[in-house]
Amino acid sequence: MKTKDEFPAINDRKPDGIKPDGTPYRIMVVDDSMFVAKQITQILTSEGYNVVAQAADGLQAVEKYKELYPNIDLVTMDITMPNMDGLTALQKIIEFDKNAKVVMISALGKQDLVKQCLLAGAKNYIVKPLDRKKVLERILYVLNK
Amino acid sequence: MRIADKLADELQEWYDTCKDIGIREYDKLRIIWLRNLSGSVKGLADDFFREFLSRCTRNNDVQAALRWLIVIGSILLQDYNNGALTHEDWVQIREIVNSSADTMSLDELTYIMQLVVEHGALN
Ligand SMILES: [Mg+2]
Repeated sequence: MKTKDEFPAINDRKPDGIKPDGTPYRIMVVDDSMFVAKQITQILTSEGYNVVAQAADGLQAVEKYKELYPNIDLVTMDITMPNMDGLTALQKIIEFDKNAKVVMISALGKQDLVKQCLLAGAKNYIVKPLDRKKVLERILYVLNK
Repeated sequence: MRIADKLADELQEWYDTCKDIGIREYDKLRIIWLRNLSGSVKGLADDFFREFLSRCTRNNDVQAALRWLIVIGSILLQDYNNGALTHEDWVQIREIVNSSADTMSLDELTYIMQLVVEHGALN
C-alpha cells in the first residue's frame, strides 16, 4: 500500500513564476495607476514571480530598466502615462536591449496604439480590465519564447 | 493534417499539374491561395501574392517562389513550423505587415511580429 508521501500533493505544481533553475522570473511593472500596478503585482507574486521594480511613467521605466539590466526578464508596460508614454518607453528600452521582453497593458479601444507597439517590438499585449488568467497566460507565453 | 500542410499540398499540386504557367494558371493559384487564407486579412494575403508574382518573374524560378509562398502561408495561418526564410525575407515580411497593420487583428499582428522579432528583423 502506498504511503501518503508517494502521492504528489496538489500544490506541488511549479508556479508559473519560477524558472527551471528554481529562481523566480524578475519583472518590472510600469503603470501610472497605483491600482493597476498593485493588481498586476498581486497576480504575479501569487504565482511566484519577483516584481523587482515598479515605475509610474515611461521615463522612470527606461531608467530603471537600464539600472536593472541584465537582471530583468520582462516588463509590463502601460501605454497611456504622463511624462513619457508606453510606446516611447518601449522604443527606448528596445533600443537599449533589442531582446527586451515587453508586454503592453492597454485600455479597451486602443487598438491602433497597441498595433504601433507590436510593430515597435512589444512581445504581446493585455487589455484592461485585467483578467488574471490572461495576464498569467500571456506573460508565461512570452517568457517561454 | 495541419492546416498549413493542406495549403502546401494544394499549392504544390497546382505546380505539378500545370504545364505552361501563364496568366490563367496564376489566376487559379491566386484563388487557391485566397480560399485557404479566407480567415486572414485579404489585403495582406493579396500583398504577399503580388510579391510572389514579382518573385516568379524577377528570378525566373517559380519553384523557389512557390516554396517561399508556402512558408508565408504557414505564417498567415499562424502555423509556422520553421520553414526556411532569409533575413531579407523576414525584413520584407515586416514591411508588408507594417503597411497592412491597420486592417489586421491584434492577435494576427502579435503572432507575425513575434516571429519577425525572433528572427532579428525588427529594424
Ligand atoms: Mg495609464
